[in-house]
Amino acid sequence: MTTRSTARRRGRRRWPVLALLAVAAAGTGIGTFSLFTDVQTPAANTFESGTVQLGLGSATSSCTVPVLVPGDSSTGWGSGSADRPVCRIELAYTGSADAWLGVDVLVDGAATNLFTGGSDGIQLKLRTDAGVTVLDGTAYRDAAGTARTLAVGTEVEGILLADVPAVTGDTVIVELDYLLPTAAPNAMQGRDATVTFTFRAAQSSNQPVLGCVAGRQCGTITWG
Amino acid sequence: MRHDHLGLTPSACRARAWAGVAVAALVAAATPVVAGSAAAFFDALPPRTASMAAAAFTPPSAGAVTPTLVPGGVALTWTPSAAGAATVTYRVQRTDDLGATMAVCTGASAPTASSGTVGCVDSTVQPGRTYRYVQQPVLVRNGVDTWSQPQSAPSLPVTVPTVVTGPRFVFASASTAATSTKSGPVSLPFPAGTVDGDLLVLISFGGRSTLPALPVGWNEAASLSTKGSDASHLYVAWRSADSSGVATFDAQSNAAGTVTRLFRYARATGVTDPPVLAGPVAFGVASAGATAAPAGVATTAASATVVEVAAIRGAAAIRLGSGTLSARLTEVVAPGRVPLAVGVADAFAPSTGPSAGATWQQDGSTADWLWASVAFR
Repeated sequence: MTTRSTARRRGRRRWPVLALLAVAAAGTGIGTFSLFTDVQTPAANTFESGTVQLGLGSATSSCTVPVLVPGDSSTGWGSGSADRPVCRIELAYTGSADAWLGVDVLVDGAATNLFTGGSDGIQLKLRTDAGVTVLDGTAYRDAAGTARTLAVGTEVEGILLADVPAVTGDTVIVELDYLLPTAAPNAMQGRDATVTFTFRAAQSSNQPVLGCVAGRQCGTITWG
Repeated sequence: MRHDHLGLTPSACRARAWAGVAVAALVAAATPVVAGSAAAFFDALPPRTASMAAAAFTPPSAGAVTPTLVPGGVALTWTPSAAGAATVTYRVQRTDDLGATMAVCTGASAPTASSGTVGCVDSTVQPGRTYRYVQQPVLVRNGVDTWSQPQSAPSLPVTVPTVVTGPRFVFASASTAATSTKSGPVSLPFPAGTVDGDLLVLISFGGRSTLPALPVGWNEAASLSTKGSDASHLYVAWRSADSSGVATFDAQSNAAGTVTRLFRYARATGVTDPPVLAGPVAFGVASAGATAAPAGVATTAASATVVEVAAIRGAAAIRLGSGTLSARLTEVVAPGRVPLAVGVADAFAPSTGPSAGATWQQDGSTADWLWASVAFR
């Protein structure tokens, strides 16, 4: 998406000129009443703003997870069966203005959820190809770096994906790995969970992160 | 894409114009943020979701076990359970009429699936006992029991007969013939359907007097030979079947040839003990002639099975004559330069004491007969 903000300010352009003329007249012709008139054909002035634009790259996968039994895990988890598909999302930054990239995370589903927030439910790892860990097991990190447990139904907003702003053409691959531990009790049978990610970009110009760290929430950025 | 404060508001612009800073205002308008404002450009992708679901067992209840008496035990079958694509393991338990509970169908006897059912054979039953069975589907991952279904409802009771009224070991099948014309080991796969505890009898007949060596794991019952131009040997060994599945046997053959077979006798229902000899082995050489009448064997235990073997070199045919034995094999093969005739028959000896042998007949040979009678229970 390309956004242009074009200002055609013919009327406005005239006001400063007249004001300057008035000031000049006041300073040089006190006591006289001379009237200068001028009519100028206003020139068209066009101003283009930068854009902040985020899209999906070709490495994005469908993220279809087969039904799980205890011990099942995705290929990148590092233990368990390690044979289930990884959810892969490639962020493609195409804006013209540099931007911070972040993500909101929401675990949703029924009250009896496959995600319990404990070691007996589904475990998640969300990582970028630059090595930034966003989710680890059942926890994210707040702005202070404290590990906090995700709560079903409560969205965690504004986790910074990188310490440096994205520039035009940058891509970031985000992978979601998962494990249903062998400790999952019988009560987990038939449960489900939905994890929703909302990836965001916010201009970095005039918006410093002020100590935010990649992999943690960042509240100093206006994400939208 | 959302835009907040993309440029100056009209009032701000006018204020700056009147102050004479129009140029500065225009420069500011080219940047996305107004100084002092928290507004910014931003963008967001439509939310991406990853849905994850855990499997559940189907059908929702474990299938009840159906027990059936079979030779050597109780056959158990039930409807399989499934949990996604995972492999389901079954734990089978029995409870007897005394209230004792134990796991069955373990190890090599573990349940297997076939034609839409799962089953196993409990070969550890005791005569006179009544059993009920349950099964429980379990998911075992990396050696750890994870999810399971509640145990099935108990099966209908099955009672193992108290008294074995027939033979304890019943002829079931014979292997294909293994022939050789030189010394060296040959492999003899156990007959199809062999299960642990079956009685296996190895019978080898050759046109040479040299006697075979006892194969590993076997018990020798008879080993005898004749010498001279009509030399021959007869060798009989036996064992309780195990999971090895094959016997390795060197008949010490030469160009005259040797033929060897395994005979399988299955345990009758209610029999749990391994096979043993039920009396001294009888064997000998009978003079050349059209017929031979091996001596019977004196059994020392009831419900025995008497196996009798008669063999003769150079015969064109062999057959069972008079007697109460049932013929299991009569064949003439010529793996080498000499025809080899072998007859195998058996009989049930319900009580201890002497049991009569059979009369065997042959055509065309002037060699001596070799024979052996062995009783098992």
